[in-house]
Amino acid sequence: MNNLDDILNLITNNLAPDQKEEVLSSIKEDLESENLYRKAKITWALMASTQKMPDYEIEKSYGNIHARISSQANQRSIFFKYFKYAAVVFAMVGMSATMFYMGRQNTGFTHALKYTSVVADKGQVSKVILPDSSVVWLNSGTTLSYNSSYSQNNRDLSLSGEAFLEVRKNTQLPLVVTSGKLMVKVLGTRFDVKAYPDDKEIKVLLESGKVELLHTSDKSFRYKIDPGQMASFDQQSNKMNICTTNVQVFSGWKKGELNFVDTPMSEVLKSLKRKFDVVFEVNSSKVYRSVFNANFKNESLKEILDYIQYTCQISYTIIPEKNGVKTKIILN
Amino acid sequence: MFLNDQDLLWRLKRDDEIAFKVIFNKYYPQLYYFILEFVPLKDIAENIVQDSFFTLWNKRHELTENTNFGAYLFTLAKNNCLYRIRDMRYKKKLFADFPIDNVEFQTNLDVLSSIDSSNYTFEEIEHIIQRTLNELPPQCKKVFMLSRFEEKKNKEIAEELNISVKVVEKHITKGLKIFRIALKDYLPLVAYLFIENI
Repeated sequence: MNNLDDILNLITNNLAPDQKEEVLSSIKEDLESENLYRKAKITWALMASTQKMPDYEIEKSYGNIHARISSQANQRSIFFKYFKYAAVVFAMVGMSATMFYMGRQNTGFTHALKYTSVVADKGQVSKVILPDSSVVWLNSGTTLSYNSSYSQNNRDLSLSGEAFLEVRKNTQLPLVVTSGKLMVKVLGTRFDVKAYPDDKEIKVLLESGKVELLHTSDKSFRYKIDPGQMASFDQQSNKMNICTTNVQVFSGWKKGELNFVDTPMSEVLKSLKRKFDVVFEVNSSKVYRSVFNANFKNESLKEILDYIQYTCQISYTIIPEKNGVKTKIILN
Repeated sequence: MFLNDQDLLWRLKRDDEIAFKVIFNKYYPQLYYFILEFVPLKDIAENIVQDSFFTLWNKRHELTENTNFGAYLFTLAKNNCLYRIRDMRYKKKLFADFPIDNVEFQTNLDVLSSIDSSNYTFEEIEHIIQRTLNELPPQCKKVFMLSRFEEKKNKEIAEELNISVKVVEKHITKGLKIFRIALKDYLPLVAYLFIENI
């Protein structure tokens, strides 16, 4: 085939306009050339499709489509809108009632044991060594409790918040972390549990070893996950979801990192609130429409906010701490 | 938040805009850069791809289980190109406003129409391309990166790497052949026995 180079030069944009015309007409005349052009053109285009697009360009395009969708949605009835809020409130009342009930039940069983609680304040990450030499990292705003017989006849932990556990192997005495209705049972392994009280879902991510997931009241509920997998347990629906994920991204908080991958803004704000011990005031529901992607290591809160402002078109105002009132950040 | 396509579908069907945004972030760049190769105008390519997402949102309740979002969106974009742009009035307007080569454009639309978009799995495509790129001989890879991802002309590449234009062309010919073999499942079948003599 004589015009192979010409065809490829056409595809890679290396021909002058008059040459172009000539090659194009030769493609039309010869089936073999046409086929070659086809395949090479699609290959070239497929390679183009793997290019990375800057976040702000994605956000800009999303802005266009979002505007189209909302102008269409505004024509819907207002009733639906209020009904949605009512449903959320209803669900929240239901959930706290369940938690209160379970809390009472628990005290009945365990009143004889004394509890030790370790707390990582907001803005802190702490590392704790438990009586059985297991090591636990606690993320900001986390409480971990264990009882006086821990490591003697049980290894029961109760967690509110996020912790990464490196569990000392003991096949005789499994370690059980309870958060809400979910129990994570292990023999010896490294894993992360995220169960902040204001999260809808409890997440368990396994780095190595094996863990078993059980339910505090449902005996038939039993799941196992493999290293690299993450289980998300929906506390309201009792629905369990297991997927493969990036371990580094999830447990970067131990090193003080913040990693966001397709994270909804509501989650991002929760993380920032815990890490920097600040309060957010959101004045525009638009804020919650953003999905955020970024990795932060030692960046200051201001640098992070600047980045959010840039990529998500969310503006912010900082009201500094005064008379013991926490720093407040207003988002628009 | 880490969601697979099944979760996304579940959430999307329940009007979850976050799920929609995640799908958008994942597929918009890929589709845009792909379509841009066939429709050489940024505005039009943008419009076409955004229309696909608009349709996805509006038809979210009709989606069937195991919907391959990439293939679904790509098929919409492809049809959009073919039917909307083929409209003569639209085309006239297009050519009046922008100086684009009609013959090339028509040829490219023909190529686009020959693609079977139903089996497109963009994750796999990306994976194949990354792998193949890393397997290329170093110089060939360098030429390819400059030509494809930095949009440099062969002459510029030749100067930068201190080689002749002929050698650059050779690398591109060789590389593209390797890529075509690696991506064969995503390229149109030919109706007759096609003897490749390159």
